[in-house]
Amino acid sequence: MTHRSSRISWLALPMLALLCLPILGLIGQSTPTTIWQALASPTLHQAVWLSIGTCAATLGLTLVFGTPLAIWMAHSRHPWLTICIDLPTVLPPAVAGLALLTVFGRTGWSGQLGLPLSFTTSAVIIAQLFVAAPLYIQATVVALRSIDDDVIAAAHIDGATTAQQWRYIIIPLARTGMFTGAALALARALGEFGATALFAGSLPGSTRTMALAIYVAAESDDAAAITMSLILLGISLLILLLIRRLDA
Amino acid sequence: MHRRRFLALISTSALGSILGVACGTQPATTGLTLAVASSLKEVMQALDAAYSTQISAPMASIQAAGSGALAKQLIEGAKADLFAAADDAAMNKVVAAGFIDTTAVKVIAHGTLVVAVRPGAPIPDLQALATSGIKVVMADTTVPAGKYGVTLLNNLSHIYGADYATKVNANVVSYETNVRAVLQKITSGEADAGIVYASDVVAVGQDKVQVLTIPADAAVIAEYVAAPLKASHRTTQPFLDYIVSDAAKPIWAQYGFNA
Repeated sequence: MTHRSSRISWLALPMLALLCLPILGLIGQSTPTTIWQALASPTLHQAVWLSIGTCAATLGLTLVFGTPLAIWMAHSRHPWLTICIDLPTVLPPAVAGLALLTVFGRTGWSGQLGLPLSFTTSAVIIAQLFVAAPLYIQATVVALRSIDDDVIAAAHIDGATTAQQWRYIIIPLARTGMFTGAALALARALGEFGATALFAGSLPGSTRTMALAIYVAAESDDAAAITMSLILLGISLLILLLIRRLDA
Repeated sequence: MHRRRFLALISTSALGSILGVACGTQPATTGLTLAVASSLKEVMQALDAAYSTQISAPMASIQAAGSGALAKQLIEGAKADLFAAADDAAMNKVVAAGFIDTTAVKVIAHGTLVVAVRPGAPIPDLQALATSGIKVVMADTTVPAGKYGVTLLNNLSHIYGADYATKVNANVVSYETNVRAVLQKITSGEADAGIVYASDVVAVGQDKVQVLTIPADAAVIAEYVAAPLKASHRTTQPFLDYIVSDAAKPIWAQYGFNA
């Protein structure tokens, strides 16, 4: 095994380089002075706080509304349901944006009811939910299904109420998977770009999140673009470290 | 044994494809590579088609994107024979980086800005853009159309009152990173109005939006510039000469530009 893996290692290098070098390049591009200057810019603050606020809302809504759906899916095992939930995560972002417009845009259903959501902060949160919530739901379904039915049945026989089963058996056993899913969803929401740009627009302070602000800044202001990229990189790194700790 | 040959096969073919792309020395049978501002895409295709038919040369390959993004790509080493930008700022970046000779930069056409309005929106005239509740989309000031848009609103303030620009700005719901995205927000019905180039309206179809033209004393004229890349080994001058010639004028006009 060792012999073969040393042979294969030189073939592993190109992919390793491709995945790691761009990140190192991004870090290498920045100097403390440019970062410091960019950090003072109010547009950067606006984008960072908007991202934090919308992602917090997305995470909260994902937990509150994603969990019941995950519980239901864990029991139903309907293949079409799973595919429907998975689709948003694999759709090209532009497709996601157009799809959201058909429901929540001015000419869409909610618009015809007099409540168009395009160009609002709510639209940003909806776009993030659309692409990120499935990651949490999938992880939670897997975690719930992995619990041995006999354990719950035994608890039931021993007189545990449904609430007690959840409190003492199901949640503790599924917790790691649910946390990992939530962290992945949060990371995905932070990076959401395409659907937001099409559906929510790009207005500083209201819909221009960090991912969008980086795209705008990349046209003109390298320092701001790189500084915001580093902030996103840092947050993503924290989330991934958190996931590793949970998995360990 | 089979496994090793298989691995060797994939690695050589992968290497081959990487090298093939990287070296990419074009044989003389291919046309020029043009890096053009998004707003120039269709007219450049038409000009290239007419030109290549005329001299029976191969068609050019056209890379269209925002002027700023193209400038960045060219500075980072993207290969192109000719760069056509929607304003001087993007061109000057490439000149400053040493990839284009400043004396080679030529004005190739002019464009005018107009206000595009969603059919059915309550905007009969330019004054109505300042009405509270109207959804206006503009290009971001990081792209040429955005800078021109700011100038235009200031010019219109001299006609419609000093607070006109402020009122219109308060109605802006999105600053897009390219001017076609501005138009997309209007044609999709999400926004009511936006500032775009007259040529963009021609490109997406005049039936899709209504156009409010700008009074002559407030009009903003965009200047399109082009220049060959120093690193290009291709002869670009005949094509450059053609696009500023009288023969090309009707094509520019057809696409909403003033040559």
